[in-house]
This record gives sequence, C-alpha cells and structure tokens, in this order.
Amino acid sequence: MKKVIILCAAFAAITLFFLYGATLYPHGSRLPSGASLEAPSALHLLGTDNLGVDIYAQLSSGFFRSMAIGLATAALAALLGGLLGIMAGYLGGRFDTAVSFLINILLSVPQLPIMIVVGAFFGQSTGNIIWIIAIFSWAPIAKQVRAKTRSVCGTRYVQLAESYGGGALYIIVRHMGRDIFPLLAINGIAVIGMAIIQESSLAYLGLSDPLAKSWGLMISKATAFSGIFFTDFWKWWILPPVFSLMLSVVCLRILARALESYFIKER
Amino acid sequence: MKRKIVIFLCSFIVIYVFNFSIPRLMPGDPFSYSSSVSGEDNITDLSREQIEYLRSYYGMDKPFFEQFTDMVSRNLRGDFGLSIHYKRAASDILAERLPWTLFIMTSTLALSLLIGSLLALWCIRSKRADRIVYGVASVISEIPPYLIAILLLFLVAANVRWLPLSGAETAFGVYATELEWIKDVLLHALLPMTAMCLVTIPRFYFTARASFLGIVEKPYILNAKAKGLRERRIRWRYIFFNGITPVIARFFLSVGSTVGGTLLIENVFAYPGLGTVMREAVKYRDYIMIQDVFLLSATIVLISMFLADLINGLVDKESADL
Repeated sequence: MKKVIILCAAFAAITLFFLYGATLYPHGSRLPSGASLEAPSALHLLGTDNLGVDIYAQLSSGFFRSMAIGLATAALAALLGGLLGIMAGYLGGRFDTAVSFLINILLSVPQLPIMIVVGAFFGQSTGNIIWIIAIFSWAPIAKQVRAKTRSVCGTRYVQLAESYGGGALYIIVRHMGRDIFPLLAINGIAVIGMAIIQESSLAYLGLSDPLAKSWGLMISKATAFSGIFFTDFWKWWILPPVFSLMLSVVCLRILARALESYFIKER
Repeated sequence: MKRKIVIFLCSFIVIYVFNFSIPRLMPGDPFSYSSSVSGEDNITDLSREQIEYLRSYYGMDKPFFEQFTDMVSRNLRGDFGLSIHYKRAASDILAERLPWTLFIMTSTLALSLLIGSLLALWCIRSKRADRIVYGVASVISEIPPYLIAILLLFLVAANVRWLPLSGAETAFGVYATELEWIKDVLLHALLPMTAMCLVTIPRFYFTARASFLGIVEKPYILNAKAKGLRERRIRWRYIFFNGITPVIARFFLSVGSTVGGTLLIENVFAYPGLGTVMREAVKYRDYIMIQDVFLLSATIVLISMFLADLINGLVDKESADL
C-alpha cells in the first residue's frame, strides 16, 4: 500500500508540473515566443526549439495529449475486454470459443507492424490512433477477465446465487464484481502506459497527427534536425521529451504492478 | 497439438486477408497520392490516362475476389509485387534488408537469454542481490527501447570517437580481411543491440527467476543437498538444466515484442533493416512495401509463437510425467 501511495504522489507531482506549463506558464505551445534554439533561461525554462516555440509549454501540452489518448484507449480497451471477457467466461459454449479464438489471434499478431499498416492506410488522426491501440489492447484484458470469471463461476456462492434464481447481471455485478473490477482497473492503468508508448512510437515514425504536439513528434523532429549531433541543442530539445516519456510511462506501469500485488495480497 | 496448428493457420489467413483487403477498403490509391503531393522529393505529375494505365498495370481495376486469387497465385510463385518507391521487386529489397534485422534480433535475444538466465541463477543465491536486481530490472523493462537507443546515441555515441553513429557498416568501406569486416559490423551493431538488450534481459531474468525459484523448492534439490553434492553441481545440473525450458520458450515469445522494438531502433541508428524500409515506405506511401514488410514480420512472429507453444507443450508434458 505504501508503494501505491508513493507512486500516486509521484504521478500527481508530474501532473502538477505539467499543469503549470499548460495553464499559468506565459508561453504557448503552438506559436513562437522567442528566438530559435534558445538555451534554457529564466524566460524560457527549457529553452526553445528550431521554430522558437517554448519547449516546456510543448512538453506540457504533450503530456495532456498523451494522457488523454492513454485514458481514452484504456477506457475503450477495458470496456471491450471486460464485456467480452465476462460474457465469454459466463456464457461459455460457442460464444466463448469464438471470443477465445479472436483473443488468440490478436495476441499472436505483432502489434507495432499492424499499427503502422493501419495508421498508414487510415490516415493520421488522433481518433484513429485511439481505436487502433484499443483494438490491440483489449485481448490480454479479456483473456484475464475470462479466466477470472470462469474461476468465480465455479465457486459455491455463485452456484448458490444461481439456484436462488439470481439474474446474470445481478450475479456478475454483486458476486463477481469484487474480483473482476480490480482486475479491470489494474489492466486499464497498464494500458494507459502502453498506449502512451505506442502513440509516441507511431509519432516517431511519422504516423501521428502532424499538427498535434506530441512527445513522439517532438523527438522525431529534433532527431531529424540536421547537425544536431554537433551542437548543444539536444540537451534541451531531445532530453526533456525523452525523460518525460520515460518517467510517466515507468510510473504508470509500476503503479499498475504495485496495485496488482496489493490486490493479490489482500485477497 | 491439432488446435495449435489450426490457430496458427487461422491467424496466418486472417493476417493475409487483412493485409490484402486493407488498402482496397480505403479511398484513393498511390497514384492519385503521388500526383497530388508536391514539394516533397516525389513529384510525379500523372495524367488521367497514365493513372488508368498504371491502375490496370497493377491489376487494380479487376473485381475484388479476382484480385485476391491473383495475389495468392503470384505470392505462391514468389512474386511479392514491385515497390513503388524503389521501383524494384519488393522481394529483392526484403531479401537485402531482412538479414540485418534478423541479425540484430537473434543476437539480441540470444545474448539476453544468456545474461538473463545467468543473472537469475546468480541471484537465487542471495536474497539481497535478488531484491536489488529485481527492482532495477522491473523499472528498466518498462522503458520503451527506442528511447534508450536515443539516449545512448546522444549521451554515449556522440561523445565517443570510436563508436559509429549510424548504419550497419562503414559506408564505402574497403576491408583487407573478413575479420575486419566482422569487426566493423559488430561495432555498428553494438549500440542497437545494447538498447534492445537492456529491455529484453529483464524479461528473460523474470522468466528464469520464476522457473528457478520453482525448482529450488522441489524435493530432489533437497535430496541432492542431502547427498552432499557440491553447490556448483546442484546449481548447474539440477537447477539450470531443469529450469531452462520456459526461458527458451520465452526466446520465441519475445520475438513479437522484439520485432516492434527493432523496427523502431533501426530508425534511430539508420540501420539498414526492415524498420528503415518500413519508415521510408510510410513516408512515400509505398503501399506494396508496407504490406510486404508487415506480412513478413507477422509471419516471423507467428512462426516463433507457434514454436514457443510447442516448447511450452513439452514443459507441460514433462511436469505431467513427474
């Protein structure tokens, strides 16, 4: 529990740090606010990029964009995975076979290449990225939820509730919810982290919305800047997005893991 | 066993059909794209007749199902289409680039397997080392490898003279001996491999650790200790050999995530493998190339998943026998 609190606090600190950059900080993330490639100073906390746009402001708007994409994807994936997993585990039979088959296929397809293909063909909008990542994230969730539902289905208290004539919805919410919802929450948090990574990878390859300031796009643009190796620009242009990405992703993933061990120990 | 083969074949068919239908489900085609984009390096203004000609040349004016059977028969004959950007047979380009990707991938995985399992074997001896290594590993394993690659590139390679920044071998290099060439290739592969290994070693370590810890508690280890066997013999003959099978299955399971990582890392180091081809194909909307790279990488991953399944089946059988 201590670990969970520490990680939550760390994540809150990260959010606050970027909240300041997105709201009170005087420079915008879209328009130039200084000379091009200025070093960090009191005026521009992290310097400016080649177009003179403040990097801290860009980072901050990138954080909220990444989080929004991550949350949307996680919500979609948890909904789809939870629904299909519960239904497959509870109903069994043909439906279960079909869903398990689908899960197995999705789990055996390499994610990044297929995302590149879909992204390349369907265009580079934020909406597309969300549903593409969600489609490939629900399968592992559904697999776990299905297994959990099946194991809970076999317990005596569920059988008892069934013999009383409890409806499917009642049994799922009242008797299985205690086991399934934490599982969904944990996996949802893990998916947020993964979605952020995937989005930044796609952006790095040039397959993200070219107008939105995302961390992947910042990294991609900075590394493509010719002669960046011979200058000092990378110190404030490349390191901040790389470290923000690393920090927030690692924080989220470890939080998911800490929550997992917390719930397992509790039960 | 039968079920696994069915799933394997079905996955392949799904991927194949998906790969075939996705460009045909969307509006537009590369010709209308390439004649609309200007300012980039591919300015080809095509007239309406030229577009019509190219469409029939690539068989894009035929009905859907006929196109599919065409594609199957062509692919079976080893013809995977002409790359629109490179203007060469896509299979030739893939054959040139694939060895580099496979080289990076297999050597990364082999190295990670070795280091990860040795680390786990070393850590089961002392609780303290295990705690530290486990903590560090669980943090590092969550970092996307391409970020590590970028950091290595800027923090290490840019400051060190003898480390190359990009490529797979020195451009226009002339080598006196084979050995010199091998040295050059290894030096170029060093950073991409390090970036990948940092992320994959923890995964092997986790698998090996769980497997070894399960074996340490088995009665035959106690028996071996009671017999007075030497510590080293117990560790290698009993724990390592009995616990290594799931780690080897992990090797094949990891191919899926390693393909993704390698595709990205190759772009960081401009390594001439499938990843850079993919990025260029995306940039120039070279749909045939995108599809072929996808099909190839998906097939590699599918086959290795199948192999992992087989090995895991062996493990289950072994433990059932005991």
